[in-house]
Amino acid sequence: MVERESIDRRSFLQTGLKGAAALAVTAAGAGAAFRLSTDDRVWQIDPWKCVQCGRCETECVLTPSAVDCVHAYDRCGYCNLCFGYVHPNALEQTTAAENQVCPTAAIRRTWIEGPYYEYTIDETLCIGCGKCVKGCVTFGNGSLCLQIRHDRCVHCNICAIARSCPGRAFSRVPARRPYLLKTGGGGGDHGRRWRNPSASS
Amino acid sequence: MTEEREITEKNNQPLDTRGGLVTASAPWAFLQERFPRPDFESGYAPPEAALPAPRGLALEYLDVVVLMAALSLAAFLALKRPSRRSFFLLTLFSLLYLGFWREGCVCPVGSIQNITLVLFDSGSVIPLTVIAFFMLPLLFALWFGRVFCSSVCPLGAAQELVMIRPFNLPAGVIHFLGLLPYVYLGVAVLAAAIGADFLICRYDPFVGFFRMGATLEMLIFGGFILALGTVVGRPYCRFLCPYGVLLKWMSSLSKYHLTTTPSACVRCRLCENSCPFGCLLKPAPERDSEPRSLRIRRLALAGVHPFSHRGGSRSRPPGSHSLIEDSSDGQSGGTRRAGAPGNGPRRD
Repeated sequence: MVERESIDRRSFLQTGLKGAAALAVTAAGAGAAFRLSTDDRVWQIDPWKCVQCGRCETECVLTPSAVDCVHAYDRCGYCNLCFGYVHPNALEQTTAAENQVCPTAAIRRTWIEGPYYEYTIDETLCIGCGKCVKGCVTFGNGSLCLQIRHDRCVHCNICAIARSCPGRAFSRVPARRPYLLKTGGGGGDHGRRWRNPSASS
Repeated sequence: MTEEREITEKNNQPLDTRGGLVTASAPWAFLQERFPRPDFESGYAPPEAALPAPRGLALEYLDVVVLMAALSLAAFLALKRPSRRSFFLLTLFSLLYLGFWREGCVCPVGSIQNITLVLFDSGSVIPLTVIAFFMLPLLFALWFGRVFCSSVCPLGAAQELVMIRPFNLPAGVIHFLGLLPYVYLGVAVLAAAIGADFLICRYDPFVGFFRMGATLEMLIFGGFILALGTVVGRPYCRFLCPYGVLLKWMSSLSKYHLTTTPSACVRCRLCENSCPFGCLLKPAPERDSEPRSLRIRRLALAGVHPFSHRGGSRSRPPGSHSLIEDSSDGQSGGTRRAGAPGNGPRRD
């Protein structure tokens, strides 16, 4: 007593419409395959576009933010008076905590020779507020820059910081070249604005 | 911003700035090379900044493999070995792996927007994993019905696990709220197409729980959906999820579908009562043919009045009422209910 299933007009129309929609969805997926990238994509900040607004610290879905300050040493001037390190309007020019720019004291200052000091970022303390970056860009070589650290970033489909970045500095970059650092400026290293950390240089 | 623009090759090539022309995108680029690096006499060599690499590509492909395995298992369980316990374990695994471990990104639901963006923005590219995440559940739905939602999708899994005492909503309410996903899908696709925002990701109610951090509004929204989910079966999936719309289209054409057998149905209505999603309609005979004038009017209205297709229960065969009353004492309900997977695909 198998009943032969008769198809009425309504179900014919419904199936037809859904079939067309399903075809469209499949075509969309296939169409997207034309712009295929074999590499994965990760978010990163273009330091040349960064305006140091401070939202990297607050807008990230992670606390503390996945953005940290990174020091491009080959661009640094190794200044004694570093405005990424001390406030320009500090009452006294000492390294006392109240004179330091970094709110978490994540910048460590080490004497090298003569008037030259090395500045190192402690990533465990850095909160990505960008205050030191602002000082360094305004008064210095701009060797400090904010970068997304990929051991912490959870790779949101839409980066919460990117959505509110006033400089539109965020973009997805190939995972093979996951960092965008300023280089050059110092010594004999002129002419190279970008360094590819994974490439041999 | 939102676009996945490739950093053009030009930017990665060495640029000669010695000629005095610095083609920098920021005007202060000139000012940033004021203090030349000193020539150290003590043999100091600058250290390299430690820059941790992102997650490897192999692990991204592993996610695709896990998704495929989970979908295969869900299809096998739904069609061949339906059991609540197996489904529960699979649901729990999906929630822990795709939800809490992978923290919900990229998920098939959100991948709609990546696909849309890449279709409309000529400068963007898309990784293979995102296309795989978009297509795999749809292809499985095309063959095996909607096996993705309850036991593979981390959003569905979260709601499935909190579904403690689901009540059936009236059919009209279900049908009306069921229209919301179409609206959501349209708005989300539009927002992604113009590159404005990824709304589905932004208003994802559960991703905040997966990441253990979200804004207060989204935590409240997610908490509300979870609380509602204890008495209404998977409310986000049924009444908001835009990917569910695509799955529904695919599932309605599926080849091996979980289905009832109308010829063997004794109209005990146990399945209807045990399905928390209102998917099983009351058995009804074929409707009589309508007069020609009414059919023409209905065809004319078909575009503007989509509410009228749920008319199957209007007439019930005589005598079925007593059957329903007799079989609803519940003593044989346990075995039947265990055999009827509550999370099967919708019969539409």
